[in-house]
Amino acid sequence: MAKTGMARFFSHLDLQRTLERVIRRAGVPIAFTQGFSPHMKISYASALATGTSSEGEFVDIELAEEIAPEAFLAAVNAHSPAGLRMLEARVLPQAKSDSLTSLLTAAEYRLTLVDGDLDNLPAAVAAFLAAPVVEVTKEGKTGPRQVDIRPQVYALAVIGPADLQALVQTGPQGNLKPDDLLSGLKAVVPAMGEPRLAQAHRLMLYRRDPESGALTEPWEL
Amino acid sequence: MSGSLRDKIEQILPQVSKPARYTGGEWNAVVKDHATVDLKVAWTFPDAYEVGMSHLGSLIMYHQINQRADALCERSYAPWPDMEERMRAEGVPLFTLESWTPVGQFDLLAFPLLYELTYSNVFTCLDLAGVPIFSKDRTEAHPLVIAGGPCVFNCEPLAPFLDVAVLGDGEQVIHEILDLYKRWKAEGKQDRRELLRRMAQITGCYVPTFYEVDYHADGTIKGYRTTDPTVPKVVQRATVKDLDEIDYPTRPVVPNMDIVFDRAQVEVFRGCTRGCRFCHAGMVTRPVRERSPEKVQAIAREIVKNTGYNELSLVSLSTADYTDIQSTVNLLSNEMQCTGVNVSLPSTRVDAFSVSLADAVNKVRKGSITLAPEGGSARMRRVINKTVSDRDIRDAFRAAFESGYRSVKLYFIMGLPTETDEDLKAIAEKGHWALQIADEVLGRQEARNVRVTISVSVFVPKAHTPFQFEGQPTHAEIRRRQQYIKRFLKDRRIEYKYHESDSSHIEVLLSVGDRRCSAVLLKAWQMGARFDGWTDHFSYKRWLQACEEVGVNLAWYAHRKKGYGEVFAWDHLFAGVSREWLIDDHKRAMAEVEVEDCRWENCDVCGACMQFGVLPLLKPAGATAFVREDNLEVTG
Repeated sequence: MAKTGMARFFSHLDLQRTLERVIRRAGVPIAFTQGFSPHMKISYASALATGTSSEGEFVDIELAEEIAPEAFLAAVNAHSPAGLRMLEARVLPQAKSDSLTSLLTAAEYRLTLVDGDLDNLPAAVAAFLAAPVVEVTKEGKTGPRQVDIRPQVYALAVIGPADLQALVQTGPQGNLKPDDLLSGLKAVVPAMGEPRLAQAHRLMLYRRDPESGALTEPWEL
Repeated sequence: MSGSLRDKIEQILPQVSKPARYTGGEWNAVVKDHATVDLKVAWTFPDAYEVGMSHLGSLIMYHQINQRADALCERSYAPWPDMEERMRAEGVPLFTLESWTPVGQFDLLAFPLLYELTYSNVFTCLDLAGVPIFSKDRTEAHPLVIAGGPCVFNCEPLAPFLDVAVLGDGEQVIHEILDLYKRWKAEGKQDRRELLRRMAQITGCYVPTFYEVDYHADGTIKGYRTTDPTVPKVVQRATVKDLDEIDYPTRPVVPNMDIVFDRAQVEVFRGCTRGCRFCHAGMVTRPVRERSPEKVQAIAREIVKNTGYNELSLVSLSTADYTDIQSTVNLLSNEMQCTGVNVSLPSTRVDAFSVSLADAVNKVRKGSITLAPEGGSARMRRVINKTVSDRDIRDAFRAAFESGYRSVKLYFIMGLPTETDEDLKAIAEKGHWALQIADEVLGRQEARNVRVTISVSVFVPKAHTPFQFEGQPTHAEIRRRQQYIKRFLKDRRIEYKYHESDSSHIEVLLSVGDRRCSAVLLKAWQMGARFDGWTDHFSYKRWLQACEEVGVNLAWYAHRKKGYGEVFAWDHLFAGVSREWLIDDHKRAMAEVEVEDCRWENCDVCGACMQFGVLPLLKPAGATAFVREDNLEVTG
């Protein structure tokens, strides 16, 4: 699923509410939970930060009756607001026992920076990857605290004059926000000045094997 | 133009709170090619997106305008202060969500005015749109600034800033306005004043610039003079006679973010003749005009299909009074339940029937039930003509606990005319009644978990109501009364909520104020007033200072009782009820005499039907509607 253009400014809750309405408008035969207050059986992967666009969102939707993926895509996309689009649908043989949030543990982003001295970008990335520890200040409920984000960054590469591609941790074990990654870069190479994130775009979500680092696409799970 | 403006907007959105307020792109939003239409209307709601998008009237008008092939209507909302700051810093003008077009480029700029405390945002919108604040400073190059909604029945505090105020139901009159504007535009936009003169000929259109006020030495109004012989001495309200003849928006814009009323809304009737004497809406929308159950059901199905909402609300000023309510509710809730759609009613009348009705639609979740007896004592309810007996209240409590509710919210008004400490004590007493009944129905053990919330708001005298002759108690007195009620609330299961009276004082000033109050408004805005309806943005001090600086005596407007013979700022705007009737009804209030509801009982000759050539229109299920004219039934 892609969330691009102005739609990137919806919050995760907005997305959930909107998707339920899309499904209802599209007349997709979705399964509901039992009980007094029936809910649609939709399971989401880790929340995307408001303002971040994506072409790699995943949802599990449980249906009451099977429909062809092409018919599902056509119906849903014909009833979606601007910027929200289902790119691909596949039928799973059976419902997953684990939620997508717990299964998908790595997120791949493309980050576009502005301002600051971006000539230093390749050097900053090299220094970041070489550093054993990268501490950034995070705002927590109990006030600011120092956190080592280095273990949460699995891969980082310069892919353009102001563009980075990053594979970082996501999911219930820990979630690294693009903003925190940028803070980490600035902490390692202060000479970069004050670059800002012009655009953060999520490319894909994966399951990452914690031992081998091997990545599995959600489809293969 | 809009391309680069859109880029600028996209760049500032990451820096503001709730950016989804400004993105547009919603489902059912109507995006037309500007080159293909003659008329462009910017519908500018002077409050936040989540409030404006909840307003049914705006959805109705958006649909009315957009269904014309020669016109388009796009939406804009008052930007939150953080967005306003960014817009000013980056040179971004007020823009519409459909096409990111600057509002200043539209033909008409329309403000729905629902609440006096949104007035300061009107200035923000005008200013950000690059449109002169004062009507007199606008030229043929600027949009025509029009306003509608309940507040325009006394829009005198805004008179210098509005080109045209549209009184009453907008669905039909908007087309007259657009047709006229279109002709004027086709003729080459000659002479704005001539356009205004022609606008003033349309029933429902008030053009303030053609009216001048004279004052007595004591500050009261001597009279209104028209400055042009062609404009009416008294402006009449526009009135839709039969809702079934009006196209209803079955494809309303579906927001992408959480809004205040995030559900499908079907209006089941317009107007209310219960006759609560404090109620502005009930006086300016007479008589009752029902939509037929067949139409209501058809609209409900369409709207759910076209929006995907999981909640459908049957709305009106008092939905339990809808003739076919029981079967409409049963039919729709049974039909929609299987698809996970709930039917809801916005308010519950205080009696057992209404509670059972609410119960019927709340099969799923027994949350809390909200009842509004408004007056604490039976005496006070006779004064305000809230025809609810003590027994109705007890029956409603009993029905609520019996059907499984464990939380009851009660709404009251304090500071009402003739109010005594006994009446206030009676407010607290109703909370204890609820608990006693809970103990009886549920047993002491179970009733320990019951919650009763008593919310008490402050009376605001409104124009065109029988209480327009009244003032609001002083600040100190309101505080005393609020504390007095508290003394009688002993049970920890009762939660007591009341508001600071500060903003309600300003609300009075803007509700019953005259043209001299326009200076206060402008001054307060210049001093930073924004989103005054939001407690954390309202500053009483700022308004007091604004009053002082422009020399307006707030106390004189807020607390003074007015004589039956006094000329009011809104006397040249006719909302439906005559001065004679308002005086009679005020006298009845003082004598604690109730008046019947004319939709079921005798006509009391308030004046609305005769003036507007309309009759109460009730529509029981079946093909024929019947119209009441006194006791005469006419099949139509």
